[in-house]
Amino acid sequence: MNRARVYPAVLAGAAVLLLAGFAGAQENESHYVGAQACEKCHAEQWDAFQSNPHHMAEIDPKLVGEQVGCESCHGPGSRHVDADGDENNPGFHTMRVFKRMKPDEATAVCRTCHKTGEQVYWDQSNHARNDVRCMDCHSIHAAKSEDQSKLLVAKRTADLCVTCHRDKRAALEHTAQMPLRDGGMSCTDCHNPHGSAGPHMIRAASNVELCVTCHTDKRGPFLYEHPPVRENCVTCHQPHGSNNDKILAGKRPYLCQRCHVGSRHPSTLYDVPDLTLSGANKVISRSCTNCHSQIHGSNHPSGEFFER
Amino acid sequence: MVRTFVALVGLLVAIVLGAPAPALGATDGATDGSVTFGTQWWDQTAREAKYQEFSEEPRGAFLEKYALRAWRDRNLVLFYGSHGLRNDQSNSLTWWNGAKFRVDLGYQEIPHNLSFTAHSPFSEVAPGVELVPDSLQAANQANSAGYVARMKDALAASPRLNLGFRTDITRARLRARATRDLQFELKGSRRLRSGRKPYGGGFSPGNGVEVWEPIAQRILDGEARATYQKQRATLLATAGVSEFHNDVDALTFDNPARLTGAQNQGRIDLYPNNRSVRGTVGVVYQLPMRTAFNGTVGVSRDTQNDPWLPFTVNRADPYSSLDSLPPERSTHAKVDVFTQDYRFTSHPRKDFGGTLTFRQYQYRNRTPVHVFSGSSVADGTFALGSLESEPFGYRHQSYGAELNYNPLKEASITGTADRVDRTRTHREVLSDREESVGGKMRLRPMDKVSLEAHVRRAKRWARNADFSYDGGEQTTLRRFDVADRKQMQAGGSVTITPTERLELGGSFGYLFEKYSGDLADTSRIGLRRIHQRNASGDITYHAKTNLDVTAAMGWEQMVSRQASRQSRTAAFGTADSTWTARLKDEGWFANLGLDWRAKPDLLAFTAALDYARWPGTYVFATVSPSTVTAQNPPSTRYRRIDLTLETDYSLAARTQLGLQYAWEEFDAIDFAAVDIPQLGVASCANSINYIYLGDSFQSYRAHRVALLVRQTF
Repeated sequence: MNRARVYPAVLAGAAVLLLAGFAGAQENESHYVGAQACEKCHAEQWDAFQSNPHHMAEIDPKLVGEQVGCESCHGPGSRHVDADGDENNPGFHTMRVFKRMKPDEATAVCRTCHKTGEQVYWDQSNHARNDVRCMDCHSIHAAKSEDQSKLLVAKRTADLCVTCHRDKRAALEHTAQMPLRDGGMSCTDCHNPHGSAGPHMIRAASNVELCVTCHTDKRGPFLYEHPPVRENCVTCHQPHGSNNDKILAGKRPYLCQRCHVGSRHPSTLYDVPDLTLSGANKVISRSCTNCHSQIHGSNHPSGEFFER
Repeated sequence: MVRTFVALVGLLVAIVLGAPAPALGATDGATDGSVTFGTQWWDQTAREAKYQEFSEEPRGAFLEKYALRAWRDRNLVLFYGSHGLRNDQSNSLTWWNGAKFRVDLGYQEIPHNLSFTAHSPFSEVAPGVELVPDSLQAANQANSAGYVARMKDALAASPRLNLGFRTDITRARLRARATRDLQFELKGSRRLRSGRKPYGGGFSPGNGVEVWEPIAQRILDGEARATYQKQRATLLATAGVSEFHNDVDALTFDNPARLTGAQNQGRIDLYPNNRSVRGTVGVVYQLPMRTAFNGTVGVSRDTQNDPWLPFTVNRADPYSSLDSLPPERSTHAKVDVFTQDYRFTSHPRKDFGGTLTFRQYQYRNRTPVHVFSGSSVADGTFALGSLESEPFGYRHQSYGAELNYNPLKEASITGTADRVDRTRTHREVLSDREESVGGKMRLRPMDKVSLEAHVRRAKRWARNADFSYDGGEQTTLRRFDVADRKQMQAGGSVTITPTERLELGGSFGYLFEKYSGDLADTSRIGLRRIHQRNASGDITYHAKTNLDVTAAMGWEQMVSRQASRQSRTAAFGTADSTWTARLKDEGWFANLGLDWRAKPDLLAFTAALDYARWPGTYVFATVSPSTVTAQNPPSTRYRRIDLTLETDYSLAARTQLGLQYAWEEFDAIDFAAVDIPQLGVASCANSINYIYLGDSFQSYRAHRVALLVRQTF
């Protein structure tokens, strides 16, 4: 057979098949139908969505993307609408259902818009690397958080975080706490669950920098520094809770004696005899800091032992 | 402030709702909301502040929660508040204007009540000046033998003093989208902190008074941030400033034992004003093959230059004059912080990926070294001798690698390796290194079961050390934060969902740190070992469509072992005796929750029980040469039980009635925090003595009954 005749014929045939396939594919492809089409069957969600921040965002399509309404998250809905509620129709299942999607695919939908601001570091965050999805913490249609601006799946942030961080549940039961149980603070005051440039997803470049955001009085720099204080607050404190005053990591004076074995009182065995009145000021109340009250640093010319 | 905030909220809502509707995307406007108010009675068997540590329990009528949501056209306003007009109120307002901008305003008050039972013979005659009557000082100085009786009388007659403080936080934030790619954020906050915190004022040797730190502080924060996102790149830039102002510079306090001479008064320099200015730039760049890089570089400068106080407040002392100080009159403290964080993540295949990280935190202390001619020992004698300040600086640098492999759809394995290099100035260990390796495995052997386990081993060692401590500490001491360390960490969790209604979970954690030496080994002292273990389990059971039960319980234990060396003489010597301590802190907790909507939309019951018990033991032993016989301090124990029962009844479509009963029990047994005597001396003023504020923990039971009305509109 003449090759010069065969090739054009094969090419033409292939082109016809490709075009036919393309046309078929276009028939099977869903397209956008608009949010009004969803209202008929999903009236409850549609109503609730009117007062949802996401609904407000779609008013400015140029700022958030051209596709707006339910379909911007759930995908084009024409085939789903055409199925008219028939679950046996393959078109019915063409919408995105986030619960059934893989973590990275589900999150990618949210990231279409949420990729700046708080969420800049998401992709390399510990949560993303451990397959946590946006929907594990947030719900667009069934948020339970009292403050509706965060659309969380739990009433309080701490309740949500301990569902995975179970070891922190015990920490939050300790006697000495930051005001987490009372709602004065939340986990997200210190951690950015969407990722950060700091360790442990904290909202600062170091532990000390984070703590002095609120405990700004301890920032110094001081004339006389207590080096462990400057280097890491968690050397002495347990931020998630402890059974010691000031959420300390150990009971004073034994906490201080982990590092101080100088002559006289710092190295004394503070046992029962020292609980008597005359020696008790090294053991009871604030113990060592009864006198060394400026333990975070002193700006006093006579403050080298942090008493002034 | 509260009235201003409420007025502002009202104004904003009025503006939003009253604004003319633009043509674009018009939708019907609406408003809804709710308010919960009520009245309550409560009683407590002791006036322990713990019951209201971070809250205020009102008696009588109160406003519990209020929410307002209003939307019209392109505006949505959410206002949410709780505990209105109380010391623990929290209010927030969020206003969205399409996708163009979002404004968040907030006002919050956080109390921290420390004690309602303290007493003090001191009076605050001016901010930061706390004095006792001159007559008391004079009498004590003239007749030290009558000191105890006189002070007991003075303390018995002293007025009650509430200890605690409140932080009032006002926040504002604007987030705006200039274009699809460009976002700005401006935020600012002001924190006002006011109140009293117990503070120790020492007089050498070993005498002192417990007074209070008058807190009058302002913290101002401001930050601007811009994010630009185009195709594969996201750029980020932030600039911020934070300022701390302390309205009380110093705390001056009397010594009740003497009116004249050395140590008749003491003076502490309270936290100085400071400022921090910072800036950050960052980039996130998406590369092909699901690869991304992000880098962030930050700089900041912390400064502090409060004027120094003289060496002593004792006016009879020549060193009480500012002229006795060096020519400088302030620290001129200046620290430059430089941070870098780089991460490179790649998942070239769906089943294989990895991350490389590098992070550096550099705290460059540029404060000049100040040389003093000596110092006043707790406002007593002046100890002559050249004394230099040591502006401490450090650098932490870490490198990390992580590899993930998913051999099966249901399994993933992760391996990690990290190295941390730390260098610092003015310490016994100038540099150290820690290396660690770890692994993590996640399994989903079946749809209803998922397992996770991780393990990590680390070793740290000093690379540049000098343990002479300039003669100030025992040379066998290894301070644990810089000591050689071996660390082992492990943990795991399991989640089982046998049915759609039932979820079971469990977790465990383990941490072992060994610093140096065996317990019997006297060649190393300081913290030697830490063992931490924890385990917990939880159940969530949706028994019926209208009945949910949740339960969780757990156990935690921390055991630390440390050694020290006792020397009751000024210098180290043959009388030194090594002692060891085994300190155990253990605890159990249990939570039980029940949510029963007996008749949906009509009648509901909820119950919550929270139980926590934390015993601690302290076991001492002496090691040869044993010159003292160790006696263990009494064990400690804290216990807390909270029970809350609530029933809600719908009176009408929009009106709900709630009846709440809460019981709380707090028990404290702690030799250091319970029954603290107010006068810490048995004989006379010349003995070592201390006057306390008496802010001991008190065990209590509390009952609370509340009637609540929730009205939605």
